[in-house]
Amino acid sequence: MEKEIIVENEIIVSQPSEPQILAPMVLDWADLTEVDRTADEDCKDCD
Amino acid sequence: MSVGHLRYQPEVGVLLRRMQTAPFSQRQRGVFLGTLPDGYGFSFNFEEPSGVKLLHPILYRWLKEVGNLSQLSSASPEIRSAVAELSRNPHSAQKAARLTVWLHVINGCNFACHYCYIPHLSRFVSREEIEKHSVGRENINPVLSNLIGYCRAEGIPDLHITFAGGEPTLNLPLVEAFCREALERNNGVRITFGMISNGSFDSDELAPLVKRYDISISLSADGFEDSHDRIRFELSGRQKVGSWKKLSKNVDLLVGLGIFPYFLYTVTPSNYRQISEFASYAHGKRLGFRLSLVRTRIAPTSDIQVAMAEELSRMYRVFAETLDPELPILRYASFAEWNLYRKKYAPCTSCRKYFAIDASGNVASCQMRMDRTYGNVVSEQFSAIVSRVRSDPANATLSNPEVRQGACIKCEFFHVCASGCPQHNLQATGVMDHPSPWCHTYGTVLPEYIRAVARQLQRAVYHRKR
Repeated sequence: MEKEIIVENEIIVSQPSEPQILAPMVLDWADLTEVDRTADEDCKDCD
Repeated sequence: MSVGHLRYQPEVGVLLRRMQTAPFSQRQRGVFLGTLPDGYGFSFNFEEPSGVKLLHPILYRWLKEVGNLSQLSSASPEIRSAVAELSRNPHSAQKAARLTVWLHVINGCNFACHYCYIPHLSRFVSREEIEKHSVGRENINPVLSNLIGYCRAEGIPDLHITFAGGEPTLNLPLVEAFCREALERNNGVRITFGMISNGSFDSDELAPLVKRYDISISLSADGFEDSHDRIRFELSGRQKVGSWKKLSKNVDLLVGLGIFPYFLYTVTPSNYRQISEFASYAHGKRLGFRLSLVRTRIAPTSDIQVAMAEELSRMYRVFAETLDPELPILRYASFAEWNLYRKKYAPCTSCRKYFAIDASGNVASCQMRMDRTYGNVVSEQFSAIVSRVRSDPANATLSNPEVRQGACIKCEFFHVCASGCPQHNLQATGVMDHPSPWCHTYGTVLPEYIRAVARQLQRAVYHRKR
């Protein structure tokens, strides 16, 4: 069944509602993908 | 007019209460729980940041109903195991120590961006004048030998050199000479390279260099199309020539060659309304960006801060629902120096693991403070210079950030925000250990950012299960 997601009074997207999701109890982005955070140690502001 | 705990005079945009005593969020720092659709929740530990956790409905319901972990012993083994997972930091493994150096190989730029803080920069430099603004070739060996020697003496296995300027691509033969010599003389130190450019280069000249030395390319953007061109332009005679067209053409050329630049977007009061358009452009090419709030001496007015915070918050709410889960917000729409996996006391490692060197070899604590140098790496041991940087009382907040005393240490968001750029705080308020002039914006956006990261993760799970 589709569900409308409303953001800021605008309908942004329709997404299917998943009644039963087989996800672990706790999930982190690192469990899905390798996001390199090394660069965050240093100021990346440009000139 | 007041915004939270700050008081501004909107007509002059000057922060009056320079010694701000109240943190942005006075909630006790700990684990925050938030709600997502379909019964899911998310958590984030502001005291010990270890990443945003998506919580299965069963766990989220238990956490909301129980409310405190003293009842954990009576919970099911599944719940107990899950609660332990909440504090797992997948990036906690000790990474190899690394020294990062911003090497300003040229003190000249073909642009003249109004907010550029590099002191004594020669602006609108023509290509014919490049050599006189560049690091002398005779200094390449001494600089590299000194840095590599320091790393070996200190047991630092990694050295990262970020080529900066001015505009480093104005002298690519010099950059190549640095890379070539660095790898020839590395003496067991692993050396990697980055470069920050305004995007005005010749791709035919840059691309082979990038490929040969695996240089990470960051491109500066200050808006989208016209708004970018209002800040970033060259001069042809007296005519301003915007740089967006060339930048975007170069982006396409680089991507076509399998080189994926990262954008650094400086958010200003004149371009914040174009961030969404810019984001669509970058994400359409599967490229990521980091947003940084402009660091000007004059604090933003309260009206501007409120407007910018609202727009940024709105944007992250939209990303939460629409950004392709293959483009994680954490990387493809990152904000400031926020790292949700690291407990910060300062936003960067300036004075500890990161320094800046100008085209003459003078060493500063970072590229924001090239006006204050501590020695010359061409003629003096880097270790002696580093000692001087760290022992300067003016750098105490950066050299030893864990002993900070300012208002921010009481803020719920401290270990992520860490007060924003300390040099900016110093310029705007006179004190380094002080809330950022952008405190309201940071504090308003951070919860939205965290929720967006969680919601996108939930959508990634849905996407994966189809």
